[in-house]
Amino acid sequence: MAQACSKKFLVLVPCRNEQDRIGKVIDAIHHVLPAAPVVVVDDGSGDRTREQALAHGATVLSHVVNLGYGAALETGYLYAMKNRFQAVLQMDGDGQHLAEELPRLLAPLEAQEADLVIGSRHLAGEPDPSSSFIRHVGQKLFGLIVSALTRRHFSDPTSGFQGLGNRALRLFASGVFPYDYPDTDVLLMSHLAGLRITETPVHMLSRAEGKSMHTWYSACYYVFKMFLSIFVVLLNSAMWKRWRKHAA
Amino acid sequence: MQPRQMLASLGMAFMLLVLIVRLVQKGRLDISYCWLWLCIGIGIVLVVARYDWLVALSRLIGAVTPTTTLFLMGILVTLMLCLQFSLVISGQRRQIKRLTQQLAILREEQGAPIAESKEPRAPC
Repeated sequence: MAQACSKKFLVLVPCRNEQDRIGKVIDAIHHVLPAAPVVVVDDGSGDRTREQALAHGATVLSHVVNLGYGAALETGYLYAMKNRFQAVLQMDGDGQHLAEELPRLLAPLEAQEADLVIGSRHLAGEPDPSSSFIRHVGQKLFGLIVSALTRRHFSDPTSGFQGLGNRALRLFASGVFPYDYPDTDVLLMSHLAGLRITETPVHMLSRAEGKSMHTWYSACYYVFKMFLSIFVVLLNSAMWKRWRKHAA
Repeated sequence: MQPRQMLASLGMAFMLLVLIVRLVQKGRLDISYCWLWLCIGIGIVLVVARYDWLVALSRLIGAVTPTTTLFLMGILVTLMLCLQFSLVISGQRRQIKRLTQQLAILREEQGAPIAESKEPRAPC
């Protein structure tokens, strides 16, 4: 179990039905960060994702039912808090995020320069090939909104390739993390809660095979949900300020 | 109100109240969720017993006939029921999420295998 390993940080990989890719992802992480525990959150897979992850040496947290991407991440945060890890590096299990880029996320956390590090494909000059048109427009729109509300520019607010320091971990594991599409709203919440956020350029691959979680319907739902979620985050401004004071 | 209307309304209200009490008695309906249904039953009895209150209420809200007020009240009560269901479902969803997460962590700590059906499901 992970308790016996370093308590410094773990690599969190949420996934669902990724039996063909998860092994390669874990191997790549072990190659880049040999000492880091890899925790795979299997979000109700119907295939052999769990067995593949275990065979490749990962710690696997299995949801018996599918809860959603945000809830899978939250399970990882709860596990990290319970086992007293100080930081979490998170990357998707579909192979889009490159393990070689993990040290870029880790560096600002280790230097105590940031509480939340976002891997940005746009800083590296890359487009987002996996987005549908509606989702792409939504990402741009919400990027503008969050930039206006926080008065700073975020080039890739929807990136799931992130590094979390202890303060971010405590905030995200406190029951406020959304079930699905944790991106712009979480970024705004983090900003209001006083987390130090930084972006670092990373490269990402497009999915060579398999089915993306973003369908046309889900893209429409994403836009609606994100508007509402940003509104709720703003309504709770007082709560984030209290958290900010309390955490300080 | 015509005597037939009164009898029919009182009969429906009585049946509804008996049904709710029986469901609570058998444990099929939780006491926490029966209060709105009891209010509906008692409300019907009140409307029958004090029809003049319904007429006064109709005048107050500008409804032309008491029937309109009744329909409006019916819609409002239905919306309240839907809201109550949404609240209950939201709470249960939170609880299921937390239970599933804790189960995943506990099973990993105990090294227990996950025994479940592995039928193919649609990806996210």
